[in-house]
Amino acid sequence: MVLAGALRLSFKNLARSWLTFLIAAAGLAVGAASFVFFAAAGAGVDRIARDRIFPTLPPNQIEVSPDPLAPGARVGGDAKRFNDASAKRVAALPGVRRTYEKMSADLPIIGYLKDEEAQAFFGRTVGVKMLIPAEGLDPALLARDKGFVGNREKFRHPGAEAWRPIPAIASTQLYETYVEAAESLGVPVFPRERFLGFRFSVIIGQGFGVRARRVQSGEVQPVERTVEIVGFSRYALLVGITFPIDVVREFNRTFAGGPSALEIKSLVVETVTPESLIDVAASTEAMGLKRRTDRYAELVIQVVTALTYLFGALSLVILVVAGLHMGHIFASLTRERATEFATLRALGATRTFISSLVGFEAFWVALSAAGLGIGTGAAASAAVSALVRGAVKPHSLLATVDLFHFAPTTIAVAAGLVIGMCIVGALIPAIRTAFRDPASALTS
Amino acid sequence: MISVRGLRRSFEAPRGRVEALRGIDCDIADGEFVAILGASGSGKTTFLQCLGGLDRGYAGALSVNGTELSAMSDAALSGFRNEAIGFVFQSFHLLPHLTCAENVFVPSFFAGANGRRRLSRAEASRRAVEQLREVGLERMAGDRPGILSGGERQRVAIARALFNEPKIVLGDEPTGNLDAKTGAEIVAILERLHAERGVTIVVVTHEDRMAKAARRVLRMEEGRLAS
Repeated sequence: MVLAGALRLSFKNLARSWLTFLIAAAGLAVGAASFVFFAAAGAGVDRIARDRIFPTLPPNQIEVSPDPLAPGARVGGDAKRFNDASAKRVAALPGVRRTYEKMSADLPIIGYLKDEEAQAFFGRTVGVKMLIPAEGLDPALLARDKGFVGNREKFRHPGAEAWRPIPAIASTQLYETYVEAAESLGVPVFPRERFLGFRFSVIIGQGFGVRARRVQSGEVQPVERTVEIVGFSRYALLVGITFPIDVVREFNRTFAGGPSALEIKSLVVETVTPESLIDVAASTEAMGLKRRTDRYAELVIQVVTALTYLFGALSLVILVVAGLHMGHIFASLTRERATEFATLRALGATRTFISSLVGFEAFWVALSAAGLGIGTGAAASAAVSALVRGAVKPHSLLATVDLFHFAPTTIAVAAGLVIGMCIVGALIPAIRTAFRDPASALTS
Repeated sequence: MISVRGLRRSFEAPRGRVEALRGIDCDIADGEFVAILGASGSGKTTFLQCLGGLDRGYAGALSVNGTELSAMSDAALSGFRNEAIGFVFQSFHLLPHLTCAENVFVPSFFAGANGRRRLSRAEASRRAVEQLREVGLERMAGDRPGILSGGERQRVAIARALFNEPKIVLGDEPTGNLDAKTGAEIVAILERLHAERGVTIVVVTHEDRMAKAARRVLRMEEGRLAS
């Protein structure tokens, strides 16, 4: 009830001193705006680095493979083999939700374009043949790729009929590299969707002067098949082609043979929560598996994170200074209004009412400052985004990504910091005012 | 009934300790109209602030209707001021950013703290206009105090003092900032309130007219009651 009265009176008081409060709020708004701007920029650049430039895994996934320096016997029941049995052991670890296998194609594959395939895409013949690295991927992992472009349903074993094209996916990053290169070379840039359905031919089991083991021994002959691109994914091989894992397993069994044909290359381990990742990583390390990381990518991301923290810290300094300024303004305002507060005390206001009144005034100022600051920060980031988009070529990476990422937590932290700093700044003047002797204030 | 026994009050001042009240004994009956006269610095205002529960730094005994003020908590004393006391100051002390009606019903903001029912805004506003009508200013209810004359401001302050229908009204030189004619109007209003409502009125004043209106005059000299 007391608070309701203080709330009503605080509105009236704010309306009276709106200019003073606006000036005070401006400092806090600048702090909030810079905090939001830099936090969103840091999060945005971090996201671009992780998702688009250096494909890293989500925070609840790691990719592990056998450590050649560790004794393989610990990996699974089948000594020195990293296979389905090993994957089951990893999947059974506490904190693991599920695992996804990756398998290298242990055989040469040559890719080329038949005349009709080249005509269909380029409008002319292309006489190029090249050795293509290939690997197999568990199709279920594509469900975890939010940036996947294409048709996930098509990415499965095509069946026994040889006339069916083998589905394959390409790397999202490979496409972006192509766009950058094409633009700088002045050659046509095709949108990603144009490559969906693109078909080319492959010769499986034979390379330039090399053959798969069972081809070499004459047990099987190389085969020619058609491959169709059905999507782009961050999980695809960066340079090469990625098939459904069952396809690669069959290739290895048919053309390479032996127990090594059943070995998996690596395992993407998904944990229940990001927090359980550390324990799971330690457990897999104890099993003789090492975590696959891109050290360069990690370094770049660490630099981005450090810069984000630095600018975030600068924004905090601005907020702290603004909070002190707010305290100073409230101290002088409450001093000026000493008689007014003493009158309220004479009319029956309690100390709680007086401190609440000053607190509410500070809260409304802070709320305005937070709204103004967050709005300004968002507007500034939108302006910078528009400037960057206008300055780069349409297909380049910077034209297709958001430089800023506004997480709800960033907004909440900015608002919380502004309101917190304002309340802290006004706290001492509010308490001092509430405890000021009304009799002496009225007499003076 | 206000009962004062051995009331003493001193302050630390730059030139040493000042004894503002040096042992006051008096009783003021319910419904009395008392004027306190005395030279500047005689302790009149300090005495009035002690009576109103604004100054708690005194020694001695001061009770209102049997309740010792020094024994009350700050919150209880605030409630006492809100319900039982109406203050009228020499400088009016109206809040300039509120309308006259809003100034009058400011005491309703604090009612909740005393366990007393809080009035709705409409009810408070209606009662404020009634109080303004009592002092002849209902037409100014929506105006801000800045456009009023000194006499009108003091009448608004009197309406505010009466808002919670207190038993005691304390005036600290209520005509001190007014010309003779306006001061006479304020005295007349206080006389009428005393006669019609039976309110206990204690007024610190220099004015003979106010002293004549009072039923009893107390004279203070150097912190003591002379008569």
